[in-house]
Amino acid sequence: MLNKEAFFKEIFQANSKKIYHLCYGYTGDEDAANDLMQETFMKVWQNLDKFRNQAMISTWIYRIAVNTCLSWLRVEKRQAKDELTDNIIENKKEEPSEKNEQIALLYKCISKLEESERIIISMVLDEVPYPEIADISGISEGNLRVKIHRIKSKLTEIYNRYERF
Amino acid sequence: MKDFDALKDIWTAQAAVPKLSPEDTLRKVKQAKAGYANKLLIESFLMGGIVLFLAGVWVFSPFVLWTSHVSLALLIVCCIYYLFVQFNDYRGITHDANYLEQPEKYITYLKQHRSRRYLLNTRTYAAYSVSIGLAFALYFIEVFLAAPLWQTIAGVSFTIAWFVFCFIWMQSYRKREQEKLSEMILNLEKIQKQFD
Repeated sequence: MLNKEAFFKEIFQANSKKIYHLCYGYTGDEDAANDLMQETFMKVWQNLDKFRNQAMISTWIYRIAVNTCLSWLRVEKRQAKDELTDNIIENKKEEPSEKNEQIALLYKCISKLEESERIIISMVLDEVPYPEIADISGISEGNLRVKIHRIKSKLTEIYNRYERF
Repeated sequence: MKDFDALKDIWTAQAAVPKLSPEDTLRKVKQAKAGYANKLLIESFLMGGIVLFLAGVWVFSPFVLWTSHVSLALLIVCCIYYLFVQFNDYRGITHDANYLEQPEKYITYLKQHRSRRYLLNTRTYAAYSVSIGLAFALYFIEVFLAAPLWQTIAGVSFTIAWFVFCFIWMQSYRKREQEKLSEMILNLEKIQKQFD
């Protein structure tokens, strides 16, 4: 049991930040991101025995996180769409700085993308290798490269459009 | 004008960190597990008690009519079925490994799961209610013949009132559930297309 807990803590420390970014990018809400991350790691704990001896444990964790995010949408979608922007702005009000404003704007722009695009771009921004993203999302690598190229252009365009105002 | 690399720099510089620790998560896992287990244990004890009570009534009461025997058998089957559904639900929650699948397969599973839940809340619940209603109706035949009329009328009235209450409550619950499920399935179908 102690071994299991130690193993869990190790993978939590190694992956939690990236999983949190994915959840935050998807929901645009700090509390929801924390909830989804917790739910993800609860599922990781329940399946820890299956993970042992897996070469790419992060792929499994990401896949759980992605599916957890997709499930969250079915309940919270309406609220997320309506309040997303306000939440981000409110969350960042505490420390107004140029850097924070840019981060808030970036999250706001990510929220304008489609659900699958939000997931993919969060992983791209966190430098997850393309073959791993393909494995997580179930999209062929060739198709994924095309998608990523399109999402990058779309996100950059949205960001620059917002930044002008 | 910023290019994608500039956006990546902004992302990398963010201080957004999770508020949770592995200890918080483990505590939550244990709480959730204990919560489910307790709920199931209480329900199992309650239902087990009811089944024992009904079995006792069946064995020790000198029923004359076959309808009363059918009635008690039906009630016991309904209680056992309820327990079976609860156990299945608990197993589904704790042993579900579908979220390890790729999103498209997971969405397909979710859609099927939602449809199954819908059937459980509509058709299966209706069959369950009709069975219990039938069991009570059969039981009251003997009550009508053996007990004073006022007792029969009181028993039947109370049972009907209880059924009406459950029916009205279930109607609104089913409506809410149906709306939610339809919306979920619609969303899932939309997302599924994004992964094509």
